[in-house]
Amino acid sequence: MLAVAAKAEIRVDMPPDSPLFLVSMGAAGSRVSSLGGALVVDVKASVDFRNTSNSRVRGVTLLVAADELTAGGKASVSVPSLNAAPGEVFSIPIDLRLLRPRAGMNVPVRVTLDGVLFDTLAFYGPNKLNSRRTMTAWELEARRDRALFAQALREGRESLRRELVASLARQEAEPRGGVQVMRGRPLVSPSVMQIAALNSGGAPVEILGGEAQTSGNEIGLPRIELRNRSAKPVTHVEVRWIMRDKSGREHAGGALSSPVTLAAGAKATVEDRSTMRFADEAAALTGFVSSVQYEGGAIWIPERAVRYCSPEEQRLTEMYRRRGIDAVIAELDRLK
Amino acid sequence: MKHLDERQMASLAGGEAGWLSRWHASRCAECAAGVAKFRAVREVTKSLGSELPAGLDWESLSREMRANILVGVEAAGCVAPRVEDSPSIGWRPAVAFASVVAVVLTGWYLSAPKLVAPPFASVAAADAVVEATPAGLEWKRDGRGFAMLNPRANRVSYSVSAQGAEARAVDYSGQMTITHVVLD
Repeated sequence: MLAVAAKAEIRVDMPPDSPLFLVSMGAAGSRVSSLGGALVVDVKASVDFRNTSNSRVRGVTLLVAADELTAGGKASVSVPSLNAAPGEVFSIPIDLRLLRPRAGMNVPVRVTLDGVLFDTLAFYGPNKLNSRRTMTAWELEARRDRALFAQALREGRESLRRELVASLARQEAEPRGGVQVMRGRPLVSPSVMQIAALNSGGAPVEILGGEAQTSGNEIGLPRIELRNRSAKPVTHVEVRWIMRDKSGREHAGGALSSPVTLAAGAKATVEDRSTMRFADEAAALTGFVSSVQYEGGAIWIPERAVRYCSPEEQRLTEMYRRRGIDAVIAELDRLK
Repeated sequence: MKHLDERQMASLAGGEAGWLSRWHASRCAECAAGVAKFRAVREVTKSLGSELPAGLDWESLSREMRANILVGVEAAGCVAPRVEDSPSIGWRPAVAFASVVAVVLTGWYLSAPKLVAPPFASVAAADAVVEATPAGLEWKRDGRGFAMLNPRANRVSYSVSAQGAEARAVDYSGQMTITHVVLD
């Protein structure tokens, strides 16, 4: 199936056996402005899909590419925490900005489906961006966090309110931005920093130790040793970094998302061939396992979010902030 | 035409009235009589003024007149409203000029083309970069690029890794949208 937007330059291609039917592609408008010798094109669009499957859709990821303009560059738009029943229509916004030379005025943007996740955790799609792993982890985190908020609600509205306010406070306390990641850039006369491990009891993979190079406000080439302490083979591990600066403030340093072959009980070393530059001088680096994928596709996530706010926690707390506790209670009830 | 008033009659008697008043008086007996009376008074006054009083002391009269003038000036100074020194107008052109400059600079700043604000997180490879900016996630290389713009949201959270950058935003309908730009 092929749809061409008349006003915008966005083309949506859907596989013929897709569980989502493209209802319409509405371009709210595009704006062209000049920047030096280049053109800046802003496109605002919204794609409407109908769920033609027999299951509820929990998440969708669309792959967005402007190949003639950005050879090698790819982007995606994901909508987690959906609850689209069979036959229901839902929208996904696509807001783009293209920067291109004046020559070659027409550069089409191609939108394709990368994955659909259902409430059964079944997945459909080409999965070019590993959407299956990502969306499954989001869905599991969403279920975990809704269960935690529902547990607080059973103790009373005030208990739920305290949980929501505490989460908002944690989110506000996180330093925003300030991290620059550079691939393959060696540090000049670095020293070695040991990486601390924050292992949770139930994690199937533990961090045995590791080290990184450091120089001033930069930390480079972190390398960690992992051990699979579960009975199942592991194919992918995601490790998140926390950098503590000289004044004791903690900064989220991104994640090491690495495919790995770890048989039951086996050890392996993974390395991030990049350098992180922070605003302040680094004093310590800590790593923790935030998700594990087993052979066969099953995903493990921590029982409780540690130093990391899931998309669903962020969504529900934002809903509380804007619309109050009754809206959150209704949402928890709707997504039981 | 209306009859002449007393001022016009007096002026006509002194030979100072205009042609219209003269024309009217030549045809109106009532006004001509009035003019004749003013002429008679004028003649009497002229004859009286031609004879000065005997023993008139011009010096004494001069001092008395000067004294009266000075007293009048002093009295006027007491009852007249105080006139402030007019303020210097030197600062007014300066303020006006500064205002114009401020308006021009503000207009220039607002109209100057800006892609987005400076990034607060980025991922860079040898020939391309992905930047997290308040507007969204930008991929750039050699003057070309594209950006995934954030939806209208109060708060957007960003994260970066060696693979790319991610932005999460909850729009006003309560829907979470996650954009990801991959640096390959």
